[in-house]
This record gives sequence, C-alpha cells and structure tokens, in this order.
Amino acid sequence: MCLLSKNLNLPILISISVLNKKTTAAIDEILRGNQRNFGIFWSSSVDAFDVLKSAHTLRYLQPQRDAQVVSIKNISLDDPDGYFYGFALSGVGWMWNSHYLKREELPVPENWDALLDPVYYGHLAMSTPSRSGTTHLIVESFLQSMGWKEGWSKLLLLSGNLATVTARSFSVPEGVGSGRFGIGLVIDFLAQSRNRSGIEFRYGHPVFPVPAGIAGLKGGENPAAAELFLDFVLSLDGQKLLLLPGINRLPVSRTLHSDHALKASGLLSLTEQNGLQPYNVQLSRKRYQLVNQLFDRMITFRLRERRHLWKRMIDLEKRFGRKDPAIATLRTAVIKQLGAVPVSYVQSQNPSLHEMIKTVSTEASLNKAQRKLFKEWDIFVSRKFSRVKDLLDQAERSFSTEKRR
Amino acid sequence: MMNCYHWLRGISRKSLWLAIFLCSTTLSLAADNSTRRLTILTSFPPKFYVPFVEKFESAHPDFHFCSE
Repeated sequence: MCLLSKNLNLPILISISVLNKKTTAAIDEILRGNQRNFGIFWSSSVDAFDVLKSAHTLRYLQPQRDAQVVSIKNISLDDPDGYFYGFALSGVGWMWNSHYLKREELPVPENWDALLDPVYYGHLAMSTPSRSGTTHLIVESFLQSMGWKEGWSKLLLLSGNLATVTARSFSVPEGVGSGRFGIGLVIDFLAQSRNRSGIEFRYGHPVFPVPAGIAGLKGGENPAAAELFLDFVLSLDGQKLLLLPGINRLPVSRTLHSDHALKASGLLSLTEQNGLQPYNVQLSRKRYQLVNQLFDRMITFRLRERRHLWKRMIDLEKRFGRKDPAIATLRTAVIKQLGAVPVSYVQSQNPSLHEMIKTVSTEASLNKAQRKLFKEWDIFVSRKFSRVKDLLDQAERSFSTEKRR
Repeated sequence: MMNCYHWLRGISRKSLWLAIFLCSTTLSLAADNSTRRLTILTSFPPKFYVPFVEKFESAHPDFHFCSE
C-alpha cells in the first residue's frame, strides 16, 4: 500500500510493506544493510529495537509529542538516547478458553508455576522466541523474574505440558480460540484482540510492562516523511487509535489514561499495585541469540521426547499416587534432569559466546564453531533424557514387582 | 557546402549537449521523485496499521493512501 502526495504535483509514494514473517527476519534484513530502504521500523518487540540500536541502524530523532507520556516507576518507555520511542504498553501472560477448560474439567491457572502442573499435560501452547518477538518477551520474563537457572528449569518443565510449539505467535490465540488447545502463553494484545466469549487473559506475576515502539531507520529513502509518520503515531490522535476495538492496545498518553475504560485495564491495576518489574532490555539484547538457540535446541527440536518422558512420569504418579514417597523422590530426580540447561549463568554472560552465535540463521549456514557448540548442547540434552528414561524404566520395573507381591 | 556542414555539426553538438542536459535534469527529477517514497517495516497486521495510515492521510492532505 502507498500514500501519494499532491504537493507540487509531485507524487510522494509512501508504501507500507508488511512483514508477515518473524521479528528476527526483520532484524536480519536491517542488519544486512536495509537494502530495501525502509524508513520506519514499527514493532512490539522492545528487544528488536535494542538490537537494531546497538548495531547503529536507527536514526537519532527528537519527535514532538503533543501528549504527555504516562510515568511508570523505573520503566522507560522511550529510549533514553533518542533512537526509538514507545507508543503502546503491553505485558505477557496466558490466555485460556473457558469452554475448553470446563469441558476438560481444568482449573484456571493462577500463576506461572501452575502451568507446570501435570493436569495441563497436552493442553498448553506457545510459540518459539526464535520466530516470535513477543514469545521472546515471555521467555525473558521467566529468566528475568526467576533467574537464569530457575527460569530455564521452569520453562523446560512447562514445555513437557505443551501440545505444540507454534511457528507463529498469532497461531496461539487462534488455537485457543478454536479450542485446539486450552491455554496459550501470549502477549496481552494477542489475547485481547479476540473479543470472543469465553476467551480470557491473565498477566503473569511479576509483570514486565514493555513498550511497543517506533523508530526511524538509517538508509531510508524519505527521512522527512518518516519523521512525520513517527510524530503522528506518537501524537494524541495516533494514541486514540489504539483504543479501537480491532486494535485494543494500551496507549502511553497520560491524557487517555484518565479514561474510565482504561482504568479497568489489568496492566494499569498492576501498575498501581506495585506488581511490576522493569524489563532489562540490555540484558535481553546481549543474550538474544543465545536464548533463542537454547530454546530451540532444548525445547522446539526435542518436544516430542520431552512430552513422552513427562507423560511417563505423569502416568506413574497417576498409578501409584503423587504422595507416595518413592514417587516423590523419583519426581524430584526427573525434574532435576529435565530442567537442566547446558549453559550456566556465568557462561551466559560471556561476550565471546554471544559473538559466536550472533549470526545464526539456518541450520545449513552454521559455521564449524557453531556446529560444535550446538552438538555439545544436543549431547547434554540427550544424556539428561537418557538418565530420565533409566530412572523411569527402573521405577516402572520396581513398582510393577511391588504390585505383584 | 563545407560551411553548411560545420554549421550543422555545430548545431548538432549544441543539440546534443541540450539533450544531455534535459535528460539529466529529467532523470534527476525522476530520482528526486522516487526518493519521496517511504517504506515502513512492521510486523503488525493490516488490522492494526491500516487505521493509522488512513488517519495519517486525513491529517495530512498532501498524502494519499493507495494500493500498490
């Protein structure tokens, strides 16, 4: 689509190219040199803006906001250096289909930990951070609120309950809406855009409010028009559009926050209840590829095995009771193995590791060092699975023998 | 005859230079015209960005929203 200017009878073409691909594809395209001369980058992924800023691909701009921005303690909506600007607020959590939960006699999950409960086996869905910027926010929320080791452990155990890892983030709300799965891990606006009865959403605690942003790109064809459009998105008129039913996003304009409808927003209530934690975008940017690669190597590519082992554990619990001391011991051992991550927190901070996997795009394009590293991770995961399999085999044999006696 | 040839040759050179000048001016205007293009890279769906573009168009009468 395009916009034409009548000014001096010289047409100004403003074409809006829609990237119907993953956020990481947009980042890759800009990092490769912005050869299609995009003038504006407009996205929900605060991580993406920080990655592009650190690569010096964004323009320094000083937009004239005509609306004062809401102030949230310790949370910066705009880039303090002036390279990108927040226009809408979001947070991550989970959505559910009430009809589905009722049919399956499942309780509504109260918190992140509840999603690890075996009752949700096969009822959850999420996307992968390597293909979805908003899913990256979900994964980072785990890691930043619980810490590297604990956060990964929870994610790995939760993945045992996943019905699937979807290729696109919007496939999660579609699947929950259609009843394909009961619960989906999503960013708020993906859930709220589904104004259907029985579809509900809850923020995880603590919630990390993240701004959706807009920025000017270096190498764009029409910098002046880019600034004009950016100013408009940040203006009060632009902010009001976020309240349209089809868009349903939380504006950052303080003026609009006095509106009664907005006061009912779950995210704003959490703001008042001190339930927020600032999202560390610098930390996220440094380990962006590391987190994406680890998630895929440990979860996306190994989901079938994880689900299978977790199901065997659940079946044992069902047969012999969760309170059985031997089952409880087994469960602790299984969780320890399934929740292990091949990269320690200290290693995760190593800049040379980040550098080594900075440019991973496809499996075929891996260099020698990357292949070696990923093979080590794969072996680590396989060994853990093998250990869990041994534990389960042994438990099944001994429980069967005891039962016969 | 020779004088006429030189005259014609002179005219041709002038015409040639004029043509080159006009051509380069036109090309430069065309290039200027093409630089008036703004492309926005976004992962947002049309449901999200179309209302923004339409409102931007109504706020800035110089611009017109159209399909490529």
